[in-house]
Amino acid sequence: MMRDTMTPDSAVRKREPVHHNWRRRALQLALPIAVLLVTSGCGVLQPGLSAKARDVHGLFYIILWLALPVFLFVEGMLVIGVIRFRRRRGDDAEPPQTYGSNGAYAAFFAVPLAIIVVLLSFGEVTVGRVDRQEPHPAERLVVTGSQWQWSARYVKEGLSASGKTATDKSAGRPLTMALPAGQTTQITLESADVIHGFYVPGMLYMKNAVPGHPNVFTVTPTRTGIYRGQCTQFCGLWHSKMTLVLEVLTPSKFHAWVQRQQQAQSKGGSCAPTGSSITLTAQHITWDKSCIAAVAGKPFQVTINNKDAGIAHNFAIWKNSSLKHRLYQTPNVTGPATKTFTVPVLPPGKYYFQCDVHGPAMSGTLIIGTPGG
Amino acid sequence: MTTTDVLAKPAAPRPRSARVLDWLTTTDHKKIGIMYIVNSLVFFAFAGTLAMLLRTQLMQPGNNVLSPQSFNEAFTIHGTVMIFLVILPLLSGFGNYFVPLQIGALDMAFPRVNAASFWLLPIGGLTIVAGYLTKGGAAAAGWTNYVPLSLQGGTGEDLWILGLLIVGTSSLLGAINFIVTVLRLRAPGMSMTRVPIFTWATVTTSILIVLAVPSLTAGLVMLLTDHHLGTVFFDPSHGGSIANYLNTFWFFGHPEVYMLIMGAWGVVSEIIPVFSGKPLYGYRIVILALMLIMALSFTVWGHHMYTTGIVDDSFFSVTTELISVPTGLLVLAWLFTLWKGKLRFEPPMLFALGMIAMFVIGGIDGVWMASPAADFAVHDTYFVVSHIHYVLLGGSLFGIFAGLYYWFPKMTGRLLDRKLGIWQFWLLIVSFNVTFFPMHFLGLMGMPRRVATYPVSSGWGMLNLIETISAYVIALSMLVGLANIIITLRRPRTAPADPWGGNSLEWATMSPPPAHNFDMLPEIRSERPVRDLRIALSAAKAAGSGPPGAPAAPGAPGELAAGSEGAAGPEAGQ
Amino acid sequence: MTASEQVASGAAGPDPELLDRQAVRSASGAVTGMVLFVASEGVFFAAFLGIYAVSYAAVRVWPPAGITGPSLVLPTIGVLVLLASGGVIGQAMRLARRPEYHRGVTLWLAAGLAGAVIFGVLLAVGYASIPFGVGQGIYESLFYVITGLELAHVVGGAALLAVVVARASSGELALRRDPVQAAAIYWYFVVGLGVVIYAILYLGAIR
Ligand code: HEA
Ligand code: HEA
Ligand code: CUA
Ligand SMILES: [Cu+2]
Repeated sequence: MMRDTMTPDSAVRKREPVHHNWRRRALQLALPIAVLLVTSGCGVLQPGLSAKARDVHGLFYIILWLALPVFLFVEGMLVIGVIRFRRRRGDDAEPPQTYGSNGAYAAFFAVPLAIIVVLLSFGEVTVGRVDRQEPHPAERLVVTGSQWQWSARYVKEGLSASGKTATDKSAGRPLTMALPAGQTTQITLESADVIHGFYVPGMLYMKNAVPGHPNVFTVTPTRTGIYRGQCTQFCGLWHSKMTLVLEVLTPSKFHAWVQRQQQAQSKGGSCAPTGSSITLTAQHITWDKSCIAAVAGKPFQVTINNKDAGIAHNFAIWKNSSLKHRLYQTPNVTGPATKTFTVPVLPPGKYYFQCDVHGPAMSGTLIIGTPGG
Repeated sequence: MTTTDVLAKPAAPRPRSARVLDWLTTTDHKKIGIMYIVNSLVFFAFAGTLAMLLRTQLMQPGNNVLSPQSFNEAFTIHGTVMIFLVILPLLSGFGNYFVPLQIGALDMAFPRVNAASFWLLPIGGLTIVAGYLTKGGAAAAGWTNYVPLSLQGGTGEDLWILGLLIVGTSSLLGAINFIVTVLRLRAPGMSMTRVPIFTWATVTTSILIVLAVPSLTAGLVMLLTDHHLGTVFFDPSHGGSIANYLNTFWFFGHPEVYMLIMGAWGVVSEIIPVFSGKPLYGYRIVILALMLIMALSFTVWGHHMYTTGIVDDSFFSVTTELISVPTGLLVLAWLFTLWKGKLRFEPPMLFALGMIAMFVIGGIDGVWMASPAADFAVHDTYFVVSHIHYVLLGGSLFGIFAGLYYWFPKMTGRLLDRKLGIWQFWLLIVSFNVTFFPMHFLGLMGMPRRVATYPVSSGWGMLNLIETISAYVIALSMLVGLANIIITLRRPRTAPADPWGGNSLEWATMSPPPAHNFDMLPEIRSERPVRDLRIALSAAKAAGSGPPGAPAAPGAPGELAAGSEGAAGPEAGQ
Repeated sequence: MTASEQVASGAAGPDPELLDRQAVRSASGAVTGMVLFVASEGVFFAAFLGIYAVSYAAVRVWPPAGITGPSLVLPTIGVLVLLASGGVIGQAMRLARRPEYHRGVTLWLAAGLAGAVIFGVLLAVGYASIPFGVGQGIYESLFYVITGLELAHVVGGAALLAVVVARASSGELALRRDPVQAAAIYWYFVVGLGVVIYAILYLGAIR
């Protein structure tokens, strides 16, 4: 086939005019292989944990069946054209010069347009279903993305959960959040810093956590199980480690889960006041302490040592983790910086503190009590 | 412009320094075109090397070849350089060299502006890459550079912004130059409906640049002022909004992807007819399609933001799906051109056919993601990475390789080696598919893009391993191409003026053309003037104006041969 | 012997007619080039004005509560000067279009240049009395950045006019009006921009 003459005209060599069997056989093989390859694409898609997810799954097949003919038509015409219309050696005459016809042009516009219209209608119906806010959610969650972990607040239960950011030294820990099967949960996505992407492949659904633009969607999981999720919107250094685990539990198991979490949280840490000043160090979006304590009856000092360069933290005291009553709040401190604030007198008791920028991911228990008690 | 001494006896070679100075100070569109191409290939080797590092890191779960920071820098610079410093300038390089030739002009309209737009390019590119020398490293917020993440960046990020401002200026000046050149400098008879499709594509690309790049410039200016002067464009707590960035970026960003492909479509639209021996099917309707795509591409930007909840997904899905109609028209026009033709499988044709085969896959991926509900399941996953490479590598880059093999003899007087070309093609198309097709599956399995690593438990390891090994074969195929160029450049200049039986005017002058391009122009009566000329000449020959093989028309082939080191026509060997 | 060689192998140089056409047409390309450049500039400013519109639509009161708009005295004088300079440049254009060279072209151009300089100075001086800082809110950011870019364009336009004035006064442009026309088109753009900005950023900020 190949020659080293510099004139390609003459380099096009004779090929046998006989049609080889292998060629037809290759064609016969190629078609099923192509179909197989592409359909296996949808095979690797998760079947979906909710009705919405199954809608999307269905849409994939619809698109597939619309796209496959287009694909086969183009590749088929290429392959057949290449085989049938190769120039024979010595055949220097020009082939018939066809410039095109209006009928063909009309078809060029009409056929793809028709396919598109079908595709658009199915697409529009599906996106309507998928984006629909299902009424009367049984659970409400506020899911907050921050560099680089998720946290979730169960609004009704006042329960907070959060992952832990990976660092050079530790692998971090994903947020584990449970949802009741068969019931609707409404999720509000917020961001503490940059844009994140909330994505559980099993939901076949993704939504961004955009600063200043909360996004709300609902999900009604129907299939219990453990699903992996991950932040998809690139968000900086540890984007690859910003994972979460979604547990879909039966309602009774779900309530047991909530209770266990609440108990663990109310036990919290326990610690006793040692003086009138507390130092909290923030690094890698975590506090160095999960429990702090101060003496009742007098103001105390809180020193924030923020080691996260370019990242803002603050210190806020809430009555409890439902975040309904804020008792105290410092302004943001952008690291690296150290600032000291004075907290006014608080009645003795157990409080919840957090960095309001990063929420439950940076939270802990504040105890106002007597020294040594 | 001087009448260059093409026909003079070869003078004593000038000292190397003088020749270098010639290139540095040239305003000749052909030299500038070549500099564009060489510059882009250097950046291509760099960005490709980064891609190899990316693939090596992703070869196994939990790999540690690159730290997360270096990985993030690597894909950011890989994407940025490939888009702004490889594909676009390669197409501008071809445009510089061939647009004036194809319309029968002697140079671009503004030769000095042309030189300036070239020189801005390496300056801008090096500015971006210089981020690697700063303490905080290069920019690492992705080529899309989303806020607020990018506002956390350091000096590398500033250099990225600055570099893109420079590159943008370069594109803008170049684009204006192209449009004016085509509008004002066409030869007599070269009406807009006889202009070759590659030139048309350069015009539509240039219009996109003129109207879309300023939106990027505005975004970059706001980034700079937000970062350094305390403005609050992107700060929601002060009345700004993330949407301000997303909209300005993607209003540029989508037309940008068409800037990256239209030129390649143009190249393919030149090559398919030539190697099929037929005219481009529906020449005028193809021009119409280009213009429709150009117009529609300003209305689809929201399809990059379906999952942000900021845009009206339904509106953008309609416009996005619609754009595949005129795009499909181009594909059909090529298919109907080669149908019933007499195909010659030279390397340019192979790459052009490969381009069609691959681009369609990328296009269908695009249509897939244009359906918002489907995009919700694959946005920001490897499915998108697959789309990117099917359209940009399988589409634009294949088209560019086709152009390189097609026009190399015109630019250098030497035909690239056919055998090596065929090797490169088959190595590339196989390894390309093995590398990038499985990315669809990874995406559907939920592997996000831009992750520095992934856990063993994810089950993505096997496909990634295959992709990485195959990516090394891509690199090998590129080395074959590089070797081909180097080997060919050491051979004598033997390429004839018209080695392929071309249609457009660049084939009506010597290979390489003299500094002033044309001594005289043939009459232009259709969109295939050189074919017309060929037919007229052979008719004259048949009418017996001389014995076969002897000079059939005025002109002195012997003299010409002396001047251009033995140029010979295809028939010369017979 | 191929078809193409016939074309390429004529005399030892290009057809002089080809050369002429290239030179003449390239020169008159300056105007087309400037129109394209101005179109691009238009999109550039449209991006900012688009953000202005979106921000405006997103809040109830505009400018957002707590801001006193900029004083109107200097900007009003400025925009009138700007409009006048546009008219003056128009007159220069009209004279330049005449078949025979007219000395008035230089004078009118110079007058337009003076207008440009006055407007630029007024704009710059105006900053001293702006009652707000750049980072307080989106209106303030837009105000400073848009007017800052406007000032940059006024400076650019003035520079362009200065070059044309210099070349015209040396008689260089006696036979070629394209550079004058190109500069004029740019200046019309700056005038139009000034008026739009005045209407939106200044008048639009009156509560
Ligand atoms: C050369 C570059 C190029 C080209 C030409 C295209 C072409 C198209 N692109 Fe692509 N795109 C990119 C480069 C390109 N894209 C890049 C770089 C990104 C990622 C950006 C990032 O980093 O985030 C992206 C991302 C991207 C997205 C966002 C995905 C996401 O982030 O979730 C979408 C969604 O709609 C999309 C759609 C399309 C469509 C519909 C086309 C259409 O133009 C395709 C039309 C072509 C065909 C359809 C094939 C031929 C047609 C026929 C044979 C006719 C019949 C066909 C039918 C009826 C279906 N692209
Ligand atoms: C035209 C555009 C273009 C081209 C040609 C390529 C080429 C390649 N790309 Fe590219 N890629 C993009 C545009 C492109 N890419 C974009 C826009 C992104 C998104 C970035 C972002 O997310 O911000 C991306 C992202 C991207 C990713 C995803 C990163 C991530 O999300 O984490 C990956 C991963 O595999 C990848 C791989 C490759 C590989 C293996 C090649 C190979 O084909 C490269 C082969 C080339 C060479 C090897 C160089 C040529 C060699 C020589 C001239 C010889 C000398 C040198 C050597 C052999 C080392 N690319
Ligand atoms: Cu958060 Cu990626
Ligand atoms: Cu797009």
